[in-house]
Amino acid sequence: MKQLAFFVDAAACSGCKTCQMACKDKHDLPVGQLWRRVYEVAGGGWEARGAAWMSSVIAYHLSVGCNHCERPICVEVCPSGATRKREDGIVLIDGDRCLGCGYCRWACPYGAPQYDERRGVMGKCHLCYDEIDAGRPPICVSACPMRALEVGELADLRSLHGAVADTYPLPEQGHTSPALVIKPHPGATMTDQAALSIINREEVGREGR
Amino acid sequence: MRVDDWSLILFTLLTKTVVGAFVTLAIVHWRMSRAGERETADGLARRSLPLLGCLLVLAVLVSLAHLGNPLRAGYAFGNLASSWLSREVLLVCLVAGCGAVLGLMLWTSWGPGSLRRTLAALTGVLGLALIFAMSRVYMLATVPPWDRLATPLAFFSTTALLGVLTVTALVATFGGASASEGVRRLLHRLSLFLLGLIGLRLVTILVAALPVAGEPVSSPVPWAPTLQAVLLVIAAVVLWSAKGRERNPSFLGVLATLLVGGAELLGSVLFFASYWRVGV
Amino acid sequence: MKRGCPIDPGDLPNAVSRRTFVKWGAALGGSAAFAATSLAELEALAALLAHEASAGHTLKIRVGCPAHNCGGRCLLIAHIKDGVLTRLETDDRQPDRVADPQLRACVRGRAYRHRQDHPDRLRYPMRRTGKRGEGRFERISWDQALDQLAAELERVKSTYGNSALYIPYGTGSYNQLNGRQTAARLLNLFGGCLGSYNSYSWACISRATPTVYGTSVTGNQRQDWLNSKYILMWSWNPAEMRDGTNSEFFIKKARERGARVVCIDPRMSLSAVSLADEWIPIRPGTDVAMMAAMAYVMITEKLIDREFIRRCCVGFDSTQMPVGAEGEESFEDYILGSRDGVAKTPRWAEAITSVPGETIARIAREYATIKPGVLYQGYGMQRRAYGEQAVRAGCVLAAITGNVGVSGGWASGLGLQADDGGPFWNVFPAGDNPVPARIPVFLWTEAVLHGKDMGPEHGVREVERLDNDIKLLWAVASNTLVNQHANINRTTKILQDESLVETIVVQDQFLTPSGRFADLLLPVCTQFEMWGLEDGWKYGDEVIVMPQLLPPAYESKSDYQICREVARRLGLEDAYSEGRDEKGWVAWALGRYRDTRFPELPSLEQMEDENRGVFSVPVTEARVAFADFRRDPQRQPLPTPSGKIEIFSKQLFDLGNDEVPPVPKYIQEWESPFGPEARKHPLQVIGHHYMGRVHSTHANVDWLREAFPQRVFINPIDAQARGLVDGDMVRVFNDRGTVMLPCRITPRIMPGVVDIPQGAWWQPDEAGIDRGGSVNTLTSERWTPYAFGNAQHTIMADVEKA
Ligand SMILES: Nc1nc2c(c(=O)[nH]1)N[C@H]1C(S)=C(S)[C@@H](COP(=O)(O)OP(=O)(O)OC[C@H]3O[C@@H](n4cnc5c(=O)[nH]c(N)nc54)[C@H](O)[C@@H]3O)O[C@H]1N2
Ligand SMILES: Nc1nc2c(c(=O)[nH]1)N[C@H]1C(S)=C(S)[C@@H](COP(=O)(O)OP(=O)(O)OC[C@H]3O[C@@H](n4cnc5c(=O)[nH]c(N)nc54)[C@H](O)[C@@H]3O)O[C@H]1N2
Ligand code: SF4
Ligand code: SF4
Ligand code: SF4
Ligand code: SF4
Ligand code: SF4
Ligand SMILES: [Mo]
Repeated sequence: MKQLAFFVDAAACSGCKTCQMACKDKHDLPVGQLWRRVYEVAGGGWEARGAAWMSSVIAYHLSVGCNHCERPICVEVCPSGATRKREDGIVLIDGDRCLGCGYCRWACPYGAPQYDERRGVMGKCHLCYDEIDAGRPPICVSACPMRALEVGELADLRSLHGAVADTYPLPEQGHTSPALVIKPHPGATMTDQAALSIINREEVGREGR
Repeated sequence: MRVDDWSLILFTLLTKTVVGAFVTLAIVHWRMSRAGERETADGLARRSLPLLGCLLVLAVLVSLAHLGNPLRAGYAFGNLASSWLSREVLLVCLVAGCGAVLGLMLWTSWGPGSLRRTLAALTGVLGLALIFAMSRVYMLATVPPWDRLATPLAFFSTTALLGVLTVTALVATFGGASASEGVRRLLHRLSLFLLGLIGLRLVTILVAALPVAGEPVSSPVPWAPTLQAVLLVIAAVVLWSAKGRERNPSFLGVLATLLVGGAELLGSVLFFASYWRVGV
Repeated sequence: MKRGCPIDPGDLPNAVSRRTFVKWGAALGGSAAFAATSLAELEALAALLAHEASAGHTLKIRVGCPAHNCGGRCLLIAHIKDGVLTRLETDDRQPDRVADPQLRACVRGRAYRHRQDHPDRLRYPMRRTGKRGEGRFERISWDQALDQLAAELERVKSTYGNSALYIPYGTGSYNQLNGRQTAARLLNLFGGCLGSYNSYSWACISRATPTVYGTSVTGNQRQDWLNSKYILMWSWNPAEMRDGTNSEFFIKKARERGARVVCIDPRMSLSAVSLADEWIPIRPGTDVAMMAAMAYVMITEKLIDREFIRRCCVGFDSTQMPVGAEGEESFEDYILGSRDGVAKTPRWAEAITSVPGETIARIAREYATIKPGVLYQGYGMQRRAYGEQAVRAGCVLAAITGNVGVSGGWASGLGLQADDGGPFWNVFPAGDNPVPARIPVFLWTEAVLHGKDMGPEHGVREVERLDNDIKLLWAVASNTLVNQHANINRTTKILQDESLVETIVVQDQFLTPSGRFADLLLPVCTQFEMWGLEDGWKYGDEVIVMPQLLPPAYESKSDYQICREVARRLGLEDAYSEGRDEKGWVAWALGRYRDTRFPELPSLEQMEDENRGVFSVPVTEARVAFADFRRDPQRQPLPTPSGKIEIFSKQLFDLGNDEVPPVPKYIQEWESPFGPEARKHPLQVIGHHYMGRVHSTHANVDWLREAFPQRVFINPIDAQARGLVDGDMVRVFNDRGTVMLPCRITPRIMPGVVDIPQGAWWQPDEAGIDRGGSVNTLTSERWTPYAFGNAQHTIMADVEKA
């Protein structure tokens, strides 16, 4: 089966948010809606040794859109059937059918669905299916100054980059089987995950409802 | 709390009340009929059903407030295959529909009794299915504080408690001061029953307060769950003291109703506030 | 790049060539000249747009990003539908390769629509009605405004002379036809104005680099970083400030080729996170101590390149002191402490820098042995009290490790790209200034207060004393009148005094903090609303054209057009315009590039026809600075007095100024955690260049404020000591002022240091507290001793919960 997927090189991601902005520009999203969000993660701390400061701080950024999951919980729970999965794996919300009930947003563990106050409907990353259909990469992918984003067939991306998709702060893959491949930042693998936290909460929106 | 939370809090509370009351009423009707008080039972049902119907309509209207696009509510049946929300909506409609038909039959005294009884039984079962579906709506695999047995337990115990409470109030009101011996006996039984249900509810509150996935269930105000339990205990005391009293039973009844209602409203708010989700 | 990507990003389908579009316009009876300036032309343009609307086309036009002074220069693809800018995409040229990479826009470029369509755009010329700085204005006509500007120029000139006119530093536009250069050209024709030199960017690095190398052109072409094995990003944050579009991408590529990258910065910057293998937090203002200790390790462990030093340097040790300075303290003497008795050991440096001594020693060994290596100096550490020293010390480390003049190495210093003889940045001819006197840009407030007292001790050049105080300020594309200059509370007091500066004219797109102090406020169109052209920021081998996309909004005009119309009133129009409109000048400027750097550069018509946007030259073999010198220092000497790399500078020695020593030394800053001032204000404040803004430009763009909100970044240890939780509103204060803004608690900044990204708009409340969070409310106007540069990263302050 075909399943398009994102690859994110979190080791190279600078957190510049160009991807997020390119998406907002293309889809004309007002403040408050982030179809792509860049989480800033940090952990570790500081210790004084005489005059010296010893730092064990690590930090990295993770750019997340919708993962067009193989078992999309958003599709499962959506009452109206507005959310559906295409042949190529892209998960779409039909804005003309969506009730704006917010249920998918409760459920998606990636914070992907974003409520559009103006229209009273849910919106979310649709992997730029319009670009894909026209044979071009998604706008966020072609935007990245670090060339840290790619799109491709999930199986291909896995064979190239491995199968990691649950770097902190993302949940275990088991919930929805995201079509996502991450090259983790070394910081994410070095550190006790419990010591990590999202430190730019206000920039990525509150979780859930 | 956000508007859509309030909308859902009221919708779930009202729906639970209606379903609980309907089922209680059906049982009461059945028992009274068997005890030869058919007239009184029919009268109670005839007067209560429109009220419950109105409450259910109100619940549905209130629930629309949490939709960004209420006019599209018709699409809400669109995914019966996998969405519990879809199923819940369908069940609400079915319950309302059956209830309405039943009400009409009662009012117009149309149709054979067996048909009415079957329809009543069907409505009751659909109602209980609705409560089940409603609890499943919240049992999202990605929302650990909701995705556990405590959720249906709480939903069903609330349904029973609010239902019996409502019917008690209805009986007390419609039964009037000139209540027959049968009615008085019924009231007595119902209030005993209520005491038991309060006990059950206290247990489910305790269960709901257990930590989930290693995290304590979050509450906006730490002592709020305790308050909820305390309100219920006071209600129980009030009910106990009202039992068999001749003077001012209605005052105590109203007080107990307010206490239970308040506790359930608080419980509902706490339930919604306990939301957190795995992931980001 | 597109590994695993089955999608081949094709060419632009449906891209309607802009010239075809213009030709339709011409066929429709419109004017082919697209720089709509006259009413007739505006109408023609409206007709064109109406036609295009009826055709329902989306035009996709490649255009240079209105870069302002952002550190990059990128290509956008503007979508125009029904006369409205609907979308911005970026460079899509294929293939995207290191020799000629796509010029991918950053977050600001992608957000530009919300600056372009901002509701607060200045619409009409306005004149001040209230007191200076109150921000009360009335609308006037362009004729009134231009007459008034011309009359004021004449008045000040006849009353005081040309040297009382001044165009402050301003970097809002380098698109050639917008920006301060347009006013400079006019005043130069008008008899001149007080001149300036230096920048707020590079004062120390551009003055100190030549004291070592005789030139600031010390950089290899960037593709050469891929040949490097070791890269020290010292105070350098290309992932955020770009330093030439793609610098961050080249570092990523260098790493892929095996280079080890280390970042030295008080903050764990975006670059430290994404480009570096290791981050070394260092106490701000102490870099020279670490550099000295590195030299100590290299010298004592014999890791220096003796042969290179002998052939190519002077002043390293007592054997190679310049004539006239024999027996003076050499660099080695300073490092080993043979004169001052203080060996500059890692342990010594640890106490100053907070960097563990063993780390300093390890980095010294790595840089000296993993070769070739780059020690790249960012500009943050030279925008500081003794910024000159850090620059010189970095150059010396590059020299004594022999990393100069080799591929994969880097001479340090300013590192302008190895020369190809071409013009850069500003091609538009500002002309020669008949007034010879020049001041360092940072000292303009001094020239307002006491210009006539200013001489060489204030960095005045070309004359003994200034003959005037500044009486007229004409700020074009500048927010340095208030927001970007140091010590805002002082500056605004100076500006308020109408007996000092008599006339203030501000040309901008928004009512900025500087604009509030204008007597005359002129609305300027955006760079999307006029023709323009740009090349790389510092680096780059391209020319980017900026076709006019839209008519000027409201009554706004280009800076060029405004100046041209003033010139008309002064009887200078022909001399000023030479008969060219904006587009004519763009064609002219392309000619300049064609004659120098890029002989293959196509004509403007051809670029338009092909909707090309950019012309770039692939770099397949990167030029290396000082390669010739290294090969044969005798025959290819440096333009220094000695012809060699001056580790000891006789020039500086002759100044006899302890603050400008002939060998680079660590000097404690005038506001420092080691000084008595720290008792009152214990925290160091830096104001780094933020992703969401170019200085103060974009500060009002909602999308960018969402992505990069203005916060004071503070370490958890300092926050805890002050009882702060993340998001608390705090006051940051010192004796110069107070700012109030929410805090962000982050371990990504070292204890004892806070960061208030520079450029947020100053917004005083009734009590004078700055609610906008402009770091310049806290900074000091004191200038650096040699370069007369701004030291705006050197501040002490304290933080408390508001
Ligand atoms: N996004 C963005 N990019 C820009 C600009 C912008 O405003 N926004 N402005 C452009 C312009 S005009 C310029 S001049 C350049 C400026 O470029 P820079 O001057 O290099 O930028 P800064 O952010 O001031 O400083 C760079 C780094 O130095 C660190 N730093 C500060 N003090 C010290 C110190 O004492 N020691 C060490 N080791 N590090 C220190 C800061 O934390 C910061 O990460 O950027 C250009 N690029
Ligand atoms: N504390 C502190 N202060 C600093 C720095 C620092 O690191 N710390 N950095 C300094 C540095 S490196 C620099 S370069 C300066 C930059 O200082 P400025 O050169 O003043 O740069 P901006 O703040 O971007 O202001 C440019 C103004 O031009 C306007 N503008 C944009 N485009 C156009 C146009 O086409 N025409 C006209 N007429 N106006 C236009 C913008 O709206 C904006 O108001 O700031 C310096 N100030
Ligand atoms: S554009 Fe690229 S580097 Fe920037 S935040 Fe997005 S993924 Fe990271
Ligand atoms: S990421 Fe969320 S919204 Fe996207 S497919 Fe998966 S579950 Fe659905
Ligand atoms: S908000 Fe829309 S897409 Fe999401 S679950 Fe409800 S109807 Fe479906
Ligand atoms: S693929 Fe398209 S819709 Fe999805 S995040 Fe990227 S730009 Fe936005
Ligand atoms: S780096 Fe500069 S030129 Fe490039 S997109 Fe950003 S603001 Fe525009
Ligand atoms: Mo600058």
